[in-house]
Amino acid sequence: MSATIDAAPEADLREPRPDWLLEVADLAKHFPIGGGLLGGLAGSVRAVDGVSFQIARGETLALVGESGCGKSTTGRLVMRLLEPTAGSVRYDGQDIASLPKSRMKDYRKQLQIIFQDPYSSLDPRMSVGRIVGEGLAIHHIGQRGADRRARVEQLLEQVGLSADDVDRFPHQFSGGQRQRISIARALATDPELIVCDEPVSALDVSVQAQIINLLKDLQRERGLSYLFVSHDLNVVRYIADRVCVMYLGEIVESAPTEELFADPVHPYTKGLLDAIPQFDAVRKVSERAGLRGEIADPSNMPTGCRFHPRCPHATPECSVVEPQLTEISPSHSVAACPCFSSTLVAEPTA
Amino acid sequence: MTTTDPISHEKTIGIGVGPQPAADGEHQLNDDTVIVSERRLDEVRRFVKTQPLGVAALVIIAIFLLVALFAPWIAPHGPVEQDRAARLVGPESGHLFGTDLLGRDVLSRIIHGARISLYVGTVTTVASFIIGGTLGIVAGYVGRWVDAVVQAIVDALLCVPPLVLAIFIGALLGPSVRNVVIALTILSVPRMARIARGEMKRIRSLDYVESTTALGGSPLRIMLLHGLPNMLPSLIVVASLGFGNAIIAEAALSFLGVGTPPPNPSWGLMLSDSTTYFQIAPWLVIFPGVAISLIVLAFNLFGDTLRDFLDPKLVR
Amino acid sequence: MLRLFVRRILYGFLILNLMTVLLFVLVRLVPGDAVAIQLADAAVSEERIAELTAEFGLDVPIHSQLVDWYSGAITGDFGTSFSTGQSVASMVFGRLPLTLILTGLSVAIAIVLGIGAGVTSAIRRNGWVDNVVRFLSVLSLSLPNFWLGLMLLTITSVVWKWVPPLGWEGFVESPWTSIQQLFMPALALGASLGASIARLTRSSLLEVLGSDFIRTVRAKGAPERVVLYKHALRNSLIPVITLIGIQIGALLGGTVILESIFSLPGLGREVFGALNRRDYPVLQMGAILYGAIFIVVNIAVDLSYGLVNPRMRVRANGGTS
Repeated sequence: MSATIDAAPEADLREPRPDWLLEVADLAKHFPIGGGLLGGLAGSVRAVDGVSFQIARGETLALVGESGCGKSTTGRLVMRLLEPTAGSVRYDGQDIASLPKSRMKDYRKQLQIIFQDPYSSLDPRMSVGRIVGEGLAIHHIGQRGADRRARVEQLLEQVGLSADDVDRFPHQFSGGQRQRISIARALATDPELIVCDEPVSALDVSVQAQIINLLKDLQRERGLSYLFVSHDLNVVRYIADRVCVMYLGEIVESAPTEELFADPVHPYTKGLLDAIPQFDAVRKVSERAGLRGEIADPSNMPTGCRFHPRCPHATPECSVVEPQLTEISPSHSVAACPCFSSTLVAEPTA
Repeated sequence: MTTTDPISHEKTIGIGVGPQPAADGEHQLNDDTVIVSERRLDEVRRFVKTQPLGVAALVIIAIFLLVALFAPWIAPHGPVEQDRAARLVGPESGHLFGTDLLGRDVLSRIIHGARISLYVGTVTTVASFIIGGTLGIVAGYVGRWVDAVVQAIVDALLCVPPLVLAIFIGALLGPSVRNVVIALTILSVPRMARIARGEMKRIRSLDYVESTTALGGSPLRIMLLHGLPNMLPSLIVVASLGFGNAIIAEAALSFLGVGTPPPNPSWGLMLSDSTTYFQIAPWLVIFPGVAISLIVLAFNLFGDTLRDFLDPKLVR
Repeated sequence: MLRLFVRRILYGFLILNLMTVLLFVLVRLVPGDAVAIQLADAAVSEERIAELTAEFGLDVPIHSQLVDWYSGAITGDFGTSFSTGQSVASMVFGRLPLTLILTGLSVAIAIVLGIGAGVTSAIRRNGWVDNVVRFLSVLSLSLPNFWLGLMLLTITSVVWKWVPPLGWEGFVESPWTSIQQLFMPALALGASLGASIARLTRSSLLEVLGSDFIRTVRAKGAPERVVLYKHALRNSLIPVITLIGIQIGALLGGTVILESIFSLPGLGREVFGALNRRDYPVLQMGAILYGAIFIVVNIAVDLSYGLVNPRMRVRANGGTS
């Protein structure tokens, strides 16, 4: 699927776009599967398969989808924790996906990540001071000793912890507190963009709200941009400015948050939204009535529209035609599958 | 020869969320060394409280160390001093553990023999810790072909029975204490490397390592400041059990004539001397063997209790 | 499953060859060459050394020596002994059965003693029997097997004035004599494996007995004996098999010393003899054979998982059909 919401230079002239901090184009990650007799290749898992999106300064873009859709992999590709198979990641105009590893360090200051699991994300043998201060040490920010310690204490207070926590160890903290430590660590190098990889889904609901509010406050104070990876649509609706819905490595729909929630077009998006638990905290979206079946095996991708085996409106044509991402309104794009594209007015922009 | 429970060798310690003992390398980049050493002291206290057998083992090890250190002052006779008038006399004769064919005092030889055993054990363990640990950490971190090559060599070395490999190397190098150390180091490096590799692979996949990468941390930082401290407990357990194995292996090699050369008072050599006279002088068999067993037992017990201490989830 | 198995064999073969090359290179890396070392004590002239070096093919580069060795090995010619001049194959292969019998017997003793002690220990958890068994097993893990052999020999000879009959006549020819000769070395050899098995059986039995699946079996009203033997014990067998696979190397190494102590003409004593003669071709072949046994046993161990665990057997059948 080719990117269509990607801003071409002409398009920029016709209608002014915001200043993109991050532009991702045709990003792909295929994991090889060993399985031959002598460890040869037996195929590949197309975890991320041509994804494009942009994030403006100070904006929160959410990537949503069921587990296995490639949203976390996308987050790691943006951070270059994984090497992309194809595509570009432009940060402030510079393609960091093709940058030599030695030059990557400068950008590491500006891009940070917060992980889902508050337990495995903190080194159990390091004090909080060393964990939060690691970025300072790596980038030689501040003076060793008292200066860095003061900076760390300040960071801890900013994320709602106490300066006295500097000398404690991760096991002495709760899940929510640990996530605050992770946030402090991410903030240490004063980044502009933070990838939040399901930052609250391992936490209790009451704690989730606190962390989300902290993230929002920090965004306001520091002008941060977030790439917010989540499967929890309630959380996404609360924090995101725009949402990209991913299915099997592709973006199937992308729109401003309220528009997406009010007027979903793609059957998969509709299914996801139908499945939102309204009054309880059941998080496994796919268990609800909105979607039937399981996400397909990404090593054995369905032909045509990848969603057709689960789509309630699937037609024979759906297994043949590859849907193209189509702009149906200036900021709303959808992978136009034959099963509904006849009802759309706009033409493919590509 | 490898009489220690091999499962303990293969077993690695999962690092739980519970309190962890502080690691040795921790102070390197640390601004708060005081806090860390306090924490380490706490861990020691907890070990003493919960693992009485481990403490007993440490006491035995300490006694052996002292005996080895002060051997010339403790031993009633010199290790090669011969008393022609008292050859092959039993323990009742004023020689507490009897004498051998040349009239040498068995007790004195055992006391001096502790030096050889502990020396070989220490050097072998430290050398294999450094070499094997480095190889394993690098292989586990880098992965790909480096890992495959290291892994294949480790597998190839591990499939020859340890004693046979030691004999082979010993035969090539000739009998001397230095050569025993070389042979036993070649033997124990693959074991240490295997554990370090597995641990590094496990640690590498954890989020805190990814977050260090995200911060721009170098591979060296990940290996030394995150990898090593987190695998240290497992490595210490393996090293402790390996120490016992090294002592047994030294004895076995000396017994076979490719280890410590005579007239040094190696315990294995003493057992080898005893084989002709075991019917008339059983003390020659009993006492050196008890010495070996006791020190090996102490190291095994210490390794065992340390593992239990670090991994309370294990049912035992 | 079949594929996995084939892969396992291929890897084993690769490792065996890698080991062969490693040993081969190791011999030739030693400062001074093998012949010189071997003849160092004897008063042999320089010319004679050069002559022998050429005779054994040690005067060509390592890689061509390796090629020579391999092209011989394919036809079953594994070289010539430095000291006896006989073919290595004839000296080594005939010794193998005794070593295998000794090792097999020690494994059998270890299994019987180990599982027996482990089950008793687990049933009487934390009782005095349990504590005695646990202490004994830690203790026997620390006893060098050759010392244990010497002690057994000393005790029987001093206390009962009995020593095993001398002269190996073959297991098939005179089984009773053979068992008298083999029992003590096998016991000494198997003691530490037995101790490991006891510890492992105890801990895995306790783990399985506390698991949900055993609770279900109990809830269905199965008698405790059935619970223990049919369900729990069976499930704790897999780690025991794995353990034997890992320990087999230590057992084989132990045969070298124990065969020497008990005058059993097996592979181990041949290796010991070669060691004293510094007969590297024989030593090298011995090491390769031991490595081959280790690899074969471990492949067999992998295969046997399917026999113990029916779930894996179904998968195995599914994979091959």
